[in-house]
Amino acid sequence: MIIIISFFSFILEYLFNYLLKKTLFLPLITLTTTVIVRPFFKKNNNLFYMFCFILGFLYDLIYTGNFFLSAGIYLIIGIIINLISTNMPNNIFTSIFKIICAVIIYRTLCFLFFYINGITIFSISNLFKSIYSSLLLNIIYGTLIYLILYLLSKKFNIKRID
Amino acid sequence: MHKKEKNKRTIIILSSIILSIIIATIFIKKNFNIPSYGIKDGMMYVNNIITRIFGNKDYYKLEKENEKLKEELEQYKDYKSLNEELNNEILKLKETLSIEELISDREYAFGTVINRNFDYWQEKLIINIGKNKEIENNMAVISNGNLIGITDDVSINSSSVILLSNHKFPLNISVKIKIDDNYIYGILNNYNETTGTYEIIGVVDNIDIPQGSKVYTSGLSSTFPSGILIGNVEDVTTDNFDLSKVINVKSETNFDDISYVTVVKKGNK
Repeated sequence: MIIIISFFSFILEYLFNYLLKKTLFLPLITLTTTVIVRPFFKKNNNLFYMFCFILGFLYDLIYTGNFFLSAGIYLIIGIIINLISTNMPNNIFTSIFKIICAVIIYRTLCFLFFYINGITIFSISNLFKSIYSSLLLNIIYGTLIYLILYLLSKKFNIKRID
Repeated sequence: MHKKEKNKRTIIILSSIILSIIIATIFIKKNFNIPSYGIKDGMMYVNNIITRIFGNKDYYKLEKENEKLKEELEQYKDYKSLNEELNNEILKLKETLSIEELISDREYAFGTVINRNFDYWQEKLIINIGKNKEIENNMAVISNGNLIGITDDVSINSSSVILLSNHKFPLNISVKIKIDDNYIYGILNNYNETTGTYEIIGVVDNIDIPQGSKVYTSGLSSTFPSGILIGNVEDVTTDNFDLSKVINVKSETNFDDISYVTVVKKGNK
């Protein structure tokens, strides 16, 4: 199921990128998917970290072209999400909180990386813009996919951490 | 034993993160992109499906544009016949003077923007044409009639475009400003994101440059053919030493809204 959702998120990411150009709805669908599917890895942290790394690597290959950058950042986000998940119950509100954390970390680390390497100029307003533009769509998507997965796991009796 | 395993895992994760960042830095500094070509080209098929399904999202906008284009088409027919006549004259003159190539000779390829990452929105974008349309690195890219950048990282079915708004644009573009029937020459320097203007430096001619004068590529390089519009003069100042003019030029292209592009190749087959 995780593989199907990941594939679906890649297609959706491509679709949103095509339809929404520099609006208030910037997609980070793959990142949101990483956060939402965490409970299905149960206590297998190693597998979850590997999943984050591979998903980030594929994201690099398909969308960004910056080799291993998203792979590294996804792994960092995976560790943080894991820490939050072990200290907080898994429900819709904590999932939204985790998505917000993931988006902020991803945008900030990307911004710092590109600034340090001289690709972009240092502009805090651009960073804030990229963060708040990414939040809305990803929270909506995260909420929907959480509810869908919640219902599916109940129906097909798929085990996950609650 | 459990602690030992935990430490081992921490070391693996930390080294993976550090290695990833190092590799990413090397790739970005050296501009390596070769291994992604196959996957990027594969994603073009997904793009084609998406374009077919959602390609008519701007239907009403397109209808209006179509009306406008129909009106312009009438004018275009007249321009076409004039252009053919002028081309014939040029060919005859070329033969008479034994000239093989003019600096204004060019070829076109048309493409669509398929990806633009928000992290480097002002720096580059990806278009859906590459080696399949004989695109090479450093070709001029225009949108809405104005120069917007150059091609880079060309794969079989896609290419990156480094935008002129990129603060690290790799080329110095030689430009000419048209004043009545004369041209004055300068170098396109950098782009100001706040004002949305380019800066032209190195203009030493003591001529008044009126606001709204057209700025074109000069063709004095191996990259760009001459006569590609860059923008209109917004205002003129002088440099810190009062020795040469600094001209601010505004492009007519909105860099936040680029959907279709034309790649211009210098020379003639």
